[in-house]
Amino acid sequence: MRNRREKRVVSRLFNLAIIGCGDFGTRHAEALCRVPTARLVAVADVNAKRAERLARSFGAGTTSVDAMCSRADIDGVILATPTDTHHTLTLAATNAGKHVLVEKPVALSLRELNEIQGAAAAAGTLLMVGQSLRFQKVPQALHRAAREGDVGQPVYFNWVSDSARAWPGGWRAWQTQPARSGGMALHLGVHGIDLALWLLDSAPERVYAQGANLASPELEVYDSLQIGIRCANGSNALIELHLNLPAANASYQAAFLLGTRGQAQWALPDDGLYIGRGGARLLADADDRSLSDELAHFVDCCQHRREPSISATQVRWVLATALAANLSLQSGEAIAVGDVPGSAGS
Amino acid sequence: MKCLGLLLLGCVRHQRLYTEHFASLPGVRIVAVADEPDIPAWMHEVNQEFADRYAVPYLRDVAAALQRPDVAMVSVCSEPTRHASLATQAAHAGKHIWVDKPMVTTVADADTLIAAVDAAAVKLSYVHRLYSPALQDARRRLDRGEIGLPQALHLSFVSTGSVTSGAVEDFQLVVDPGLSGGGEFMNFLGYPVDTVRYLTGQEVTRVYASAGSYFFAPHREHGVEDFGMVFLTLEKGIIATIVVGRSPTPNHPTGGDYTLRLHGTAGTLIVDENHPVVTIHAEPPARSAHSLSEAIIAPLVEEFVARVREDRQPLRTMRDGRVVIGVIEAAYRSLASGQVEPVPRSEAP
Repeated sequence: MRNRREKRVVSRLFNLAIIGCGDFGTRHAEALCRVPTARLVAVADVNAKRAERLARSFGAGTTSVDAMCSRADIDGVILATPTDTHHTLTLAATNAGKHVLVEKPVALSLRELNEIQGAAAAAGTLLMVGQSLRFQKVPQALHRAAREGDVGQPVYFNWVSDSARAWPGGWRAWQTQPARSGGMALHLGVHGIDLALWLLDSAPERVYAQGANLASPELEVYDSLQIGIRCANGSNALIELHLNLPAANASYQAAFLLGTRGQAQWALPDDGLYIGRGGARLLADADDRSLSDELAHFVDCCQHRREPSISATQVRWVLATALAANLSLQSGEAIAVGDVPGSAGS
Repeated sequence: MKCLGLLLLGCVRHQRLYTEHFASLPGVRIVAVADEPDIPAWMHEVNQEFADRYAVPYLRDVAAALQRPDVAMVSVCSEPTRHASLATQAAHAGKHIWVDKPMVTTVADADTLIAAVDAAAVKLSYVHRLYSPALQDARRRLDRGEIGLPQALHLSFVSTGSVTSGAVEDFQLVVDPGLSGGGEFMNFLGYPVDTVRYLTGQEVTRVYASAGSYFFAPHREHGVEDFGMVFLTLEKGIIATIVVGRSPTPNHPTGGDYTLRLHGTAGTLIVDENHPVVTIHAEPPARSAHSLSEAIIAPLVEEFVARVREDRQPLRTMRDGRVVIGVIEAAYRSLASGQVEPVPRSEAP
């Protein structure tokens, strides 16, 4: 006969709610279907119709943020809303004792981050940032190459993401409004920045960034960025983002990790050819479970009181680096990461 | 066809490659090797080997060699810090000048050389990679507007393999600043900087750099960089990044990563200078079946000799060399300051 206590512990599903039922909220709901330890119980969105649609599709209920916070049966919250709402909503959920998985970027400033990390520490809840790229196969392979010594000590990392020129949503997209998204360095830059600091395994020290207008000069943000990171251990990273490809489905991504004993590299497409008007389609990983793996990791960390692999320190490093890149773009100068407002050194 | 006599001034580093291409051209004859008397004994030995190979005299007197009437051109391939002095003497003697990279190791040296070359009205070309088939193809595609206006560029120039792989006789020629003028920035950075200028037609205005001695003991011992990244701001709002240096990556099939990504207003061009390539996987390990250096140097040597005959300027002149060393100097200033450094826009005298 099964031990009753053990059965209760093992079979107790982790109840999650999603705030924000847009593109990424929907992807989280889909990914949750493949996480056997958790279930979606409620969704919320400022757009009631959007929330109802998502709730219906995944057998969850709709709720409000306030009601969600006061519900005892909700263990954790996935926050997939525009970045300018992260601070307020994360604080609300955390102060209500909920674990929070917040989409990247975590916040718009280090002061906001200080407050939400402080609140999580006080509440004893988990705060994890959704750097889902880390759970994809290529970054995982690069990380193994770095940690298992295949390439020796990593000294340089380059990440390139080149995609379609028009932002989905056009002028309505909050992602292109600096006040809401923090601009490209925060909204998209944190992907490569997080990979860089994870692979180079060092604190960022100095950041230099330059931008250009490729295909959409009317945007308030650059659509082309080159971000240079100098780490405390002397290693360097170069993160490149470009939004200029003429076909909506066109994409080019590349990664290059150089170590003291070798290098690891990847590119898609990798035929070394011209990506022009026809566009080249990024070959999607046919079995990409990165978002499910990220959610499973979040649930596992909540249930077993573990620190996420995306550590609180790394979360600070990544945001500080992206903010330093913005300061560099504004001033045209290299920025010491310790000088970013809200950092311990500033 | 008039026979053009070539005098070899210094025979270290890549002189063998250059001389082979010069010697293969009709109407070009190696007539002598010359160098200063007070250079190290091993350099005299290398010079003597070249003289023996081509059955020409080795003269330990540069001035006397430059007075020979059968010398029309010189190929300067000494340690880089002596390029300027040897090339300037050749200009004063009215000889056309082929000079290894870097053309000179300071802007001040470039100014001296430019004055001498202008006064003598001779031709000067330095070694660059702009005739690389992939770069030529990229330039044609850019000029056709295939990706619109190039606004953001990335270039990688990373040679792989051991420092003792034999590209130069003595690695001190690369790492001892007294001989080389600097580290791998001085050695290699001119290539991608010139490529950015060639592809965009614009000049560099600001430079930021971050580098280190990551891989090789000789670089560490001399306090010079073996690898680093360089950010360039150019006119017309163009931005560029360059990673440059030498890495110990073993068994690299093409001996290095020489790649470009050109992001334009209407598309992106990805260029691998080693492509298309035939790679051979066998013993010894994977290797490329073609020589990129030969594909680049052969047309460059041909161009220089043709320009001398036609009395026309080559694709790259000493004024380009001066601009390039100005950018390299700014990169070194940035390494020292940790800040962005402007590139002075002064004109050559």
